[in-house]
Order: sequence, then C-alpha cells, then structure tokens
Amino acid sequence: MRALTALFTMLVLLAGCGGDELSGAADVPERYSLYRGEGVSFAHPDGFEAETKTNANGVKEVTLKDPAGGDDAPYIHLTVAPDRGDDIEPLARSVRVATESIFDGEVSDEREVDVEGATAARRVEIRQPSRSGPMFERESLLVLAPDERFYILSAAVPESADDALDRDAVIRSFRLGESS
Amino acid sequence: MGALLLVSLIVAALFASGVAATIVDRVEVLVCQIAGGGNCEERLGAELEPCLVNSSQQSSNFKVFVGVVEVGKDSILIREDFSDGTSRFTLIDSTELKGELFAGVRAKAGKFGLSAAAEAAAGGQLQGAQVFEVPTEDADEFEESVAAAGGFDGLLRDTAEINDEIPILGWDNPLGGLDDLALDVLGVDEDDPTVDPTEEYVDVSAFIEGDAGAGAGVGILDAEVEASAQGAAGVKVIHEGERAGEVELYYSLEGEAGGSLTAGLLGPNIDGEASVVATLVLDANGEPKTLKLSGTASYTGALGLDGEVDGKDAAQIHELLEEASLSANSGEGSAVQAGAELDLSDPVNRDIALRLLTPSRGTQAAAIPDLIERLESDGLLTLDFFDVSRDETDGEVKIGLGVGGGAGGGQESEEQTATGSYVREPGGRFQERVCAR
Repeated sequence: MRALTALFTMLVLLAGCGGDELSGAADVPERYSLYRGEGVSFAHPDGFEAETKTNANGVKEVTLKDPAGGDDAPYIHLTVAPDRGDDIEPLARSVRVATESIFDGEVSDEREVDVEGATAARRVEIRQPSRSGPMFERESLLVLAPDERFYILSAAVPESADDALDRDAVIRSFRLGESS
Repeated sequence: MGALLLVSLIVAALFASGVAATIVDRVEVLVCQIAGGGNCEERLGAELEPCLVNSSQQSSNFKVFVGVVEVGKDSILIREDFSDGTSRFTLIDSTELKGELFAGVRAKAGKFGLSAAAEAAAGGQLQGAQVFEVPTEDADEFEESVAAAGGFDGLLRDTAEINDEIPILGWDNPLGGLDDLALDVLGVDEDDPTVDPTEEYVDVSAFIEGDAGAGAGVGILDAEVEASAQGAAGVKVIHEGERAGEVELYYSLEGEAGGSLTAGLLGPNIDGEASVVATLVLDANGEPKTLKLSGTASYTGALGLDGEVDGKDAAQIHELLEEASLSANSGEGSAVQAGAELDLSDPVNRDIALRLLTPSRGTQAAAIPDLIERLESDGLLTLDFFDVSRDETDGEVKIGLGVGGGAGGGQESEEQTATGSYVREPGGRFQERVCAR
C-alpha cells in the first residue's frame, strides 16, 4: 500500500512538473491571438487591444483589454524591467510584499516553473481587492531573462466573472524570444 | 502677557539648570498655547523626531566553506544610529548588486550621503533589501554577527539545516550544533527561522504591476498619483510602528529640475551637477501624505557654517550658503544637507508635489517656483552638517560554521557623523533641532 501511495505521489509530481514547463510551440486557444513584442509572446483574446508605454523609470508596460469592456473588465498586463540582475528571489519577494503589504491582497500559491531560455521563473496566484470592493483573481508569471530583463505577465479577472478570461491559457502561452 | 513672561522665565531657568528635556518640551507647549498658537502638540511631535547621529556603511565579501559545500555571499550593511537609542540596519543581500551598488555608494558619498533612500532614488536596485531596528546597545553585536556570517539569517539557516545531518548517509552531524549556536546569537528561532523586517524595499516593477488594474479600481492609487509613481525609481513599504502601511516612493530630480531645486535649497553657487532626492510618502490608503526633499553638497575647510545658522530665517541662510564654496561632487570632508518637508494634506501642496514628480516635459521645472514659495511659507526646513570619512582594512572575520567553518574577507566602511542639526518650523527661524532621547 505504501509503495502504491509513493507511486501515486510520484505520478502526481511528474504531472505537475510537465504542466509547469513553458517551451516549444505555444498553445493558442480558439478566439485567441498571439501578442509579440518586448522580446516575448503570449496569447490574448481576439478583441483585446494593446496599449504600450515606457515610464520615466525605464519600466515598460503593455496593457491588453477589450476597449468596450468597461472599467471592471478582465485585463492582461506585461511589465518589463531592465537590469534586474540574475537572482529572481528578491524580485519574487517584492511581488509578495507589494501584494500583501501595499495592495491588501494575498498570494495563494507560488511555484517555480521552467520557461525555455529563462534564467528563472515563478508562477503566482494572487487575490487582490479593488477600491470599489470586488475581488480580482490574478495569475502572474515572473520571468528573469538572461539579459537581466524581468518580466511580469499578469492575467486578471473580477472574481464574479471568472470565465471571462482563460488565465491559465494566457500564462502557459508565454514564450521568451517572440517565438510562436 | 504677564503669565507668558513668567512661564518664559521658568523655561529659561529650566534650560540653565539642565532639567530633563521632556519637561522643557511640555513647558514649551504651554508657552505656545498661552501665546495662542495652534497645533502646539503637533509642533512638539515634529521637534522630537529622532535625529541621525551616525551612519556607517560596510561592504563585506566573504567566502564560507561548510563541509564540501562552497557558499559565496556578498552583502552591504548600512547602519544608522539615532538619538533615541535605536539603530537601524539596512541589509542588502545580493551577490549581483553588491559590486555595482557599493561602487555607486562610494561614488556618491558626499553627494547623497550614505542614504539607502538616495540609492533607491538613483536607480540602485534595492529590491529585497530589509530594514531591521534594534536598540543601539545591541547594535554592535548585531553588526558583528551579520558581518561574520557574510549575510543574514538565510545563510546561517541553510547552513544549519545542511549540517544537522551528514549528507547521503543521513546520520546526525555531531558538529551541526555549532550552527544552531550561531542562530541563537542572531536571535533566530530554529523552528520558525524568520526575522520580520520593520521596513522593506520592493522592486518598482512589482509596485507598478500591483497597480496595473487601476482603471478597474484595482490598486490603491488614483490616476494622478499613479502618473507620478511611474517616475519613481524605488519603493519602500513600512511594516511596523506608527507608520505601518505607509509607502515611500523615491525619485532623483536631475537636470533642469534638479538644478533649480538645488538652487532653492542650497543656493545657486553649487559647483558640479546637482540633484535632489525626492520622497513621496503615501499613507496606507495610497493618498499623498508628505513630500520630502533632500539636497547635499560638500565643502572643504572650516567654514563654520553650522555656528551661524541659529536664529536666521530662510533668506538669511540662503545668503550664508551663497558665500560658501559648495560642491555637488566631492567625497570626503564636510557636507551640508538641506531638507524640506511639505504637508500634502493641503490640496495646493498636493497639486504642486504631483506636478513636480510627474514625468512630463516642462511640467516638473515649471512647478519649482511654486514649490519654493510653498516651502518658504509652509514647509519644514532642515539643515544638517556632517563629516564624511572612509576606512579600508583587510581584516579577517572568522566564525565557526560547522565542519570546515570559517569566513574571511576584506571590509570597507564609510562613516558620516553629524556635527550640527537645525530645523525651521513654517514661518519661523532656524533653531537647533531638539532630538528625541
């Protein structure tokens, strides 16, 4: 019985490992398109439009959302910060601390993932309240690239509209190097 | 009026007799109230902030050998001692950042002082840096323990876990207990080996990401504040104390804005490229609370500036500084740091501060004349004088870390000692700062 349990545990872990490897051709769901830019690519719903800006502090932001979606619509957000070194832990800690101590949210899960070509990567699940009350569910992928660029790709939806955006598909479609 | 005269005489007598500063402070509040002044208690609170009396920055570069495992660790430890008997340590524990950051600090010594905030404002990536507050009487022990470990609890914790049993064989390591002893010295609970920092630096990208859904009401900032935050180079969150939940955003104002503001703070005759560190303090709800500005210049020789500050107003101080030969670039020697604080609960002040900090061509520089005017009428102004010195040694620090334990490496330190500190309340004259004890 103990051997069976061990085997089952191993199978579950192996399945988990396979699910957290982002490599090869990205799987783009139906009615989704591929965004390419800033050295990366990822899937987004067909109707989403991208708005890009570069901040004075050198951080680039790409926001994708449905222009007709209204204020509480789902959104995808990419942050690109240059020259962040080669250690992802202080960056991941920053995300945890900012979420919990500044934005009153909570990090419900954080795990390492393999992203092809990346120095290191983490995937985190976050619940974060909005100022008007509704809770947002956010999945974020943190990726540190060999050129020391730090990427945060987030897919967020209001809790009440969980099906409005396939967050898992967005995160799992992320690739470094703008490959499809 | 008679009552005021009588109380004033009592205050003078108390000063002469050296009675406890706290009693004198209470009497000053009484004088303030009799004279019809408003917010007397608040003024007292402002005067009694702890003053920085000394700061030092150490760079350690150690290699630690534990059994067959080689662990390299670089770190920077900034220590600041305050007049109220507390010491604050900022630990920057990153191999990648150590060389670049410490080189940056050395280059900026005298220009920015040794402030971690200045580093953050200048784009030094302090993400993950943690601030610990300990009683000054325990500070030396804390500093030695951390320096000897070449880092903080993480290294020792890992080391202790590795050594509790012999790898592969799984047998208890008879020397593993030495690590546990080291943990005890640092006050780290082995069962819950974490030490909560009082403050923590986070990467600005994590802050931006958390506020990315601002359009959907996600995040804590309104649109105006969010626009200002996009120019911030560093972020710190405060975890404990009266300011728990507050966030500080750091900016380095350079070029035209930095030059104009430096001229406003320290006079127009500064040699070299001047810049000002700006800190936007947000309350726990993300509302702007305070704008802090700090400009530093160094000078050589004994100008005796600090002896002439007492009793002068802002205009007279400007004249005084204009006569001095100040430089924005040099390192060791004497330095003067001019600071200003503006209460942003006043909507006019808030508007000026956000214009200053929002990166938009022309807007920042245009806000400065209004800002200088508000600072002169409504700001808390400070002048601090320091001596800056450096020391480099090749000393070796050793600590037992289990099998083959030992750490060695060179140390460099820079030290900044306060020689005079003055404050000007809104509408008043510069007076020697009363520090919390």
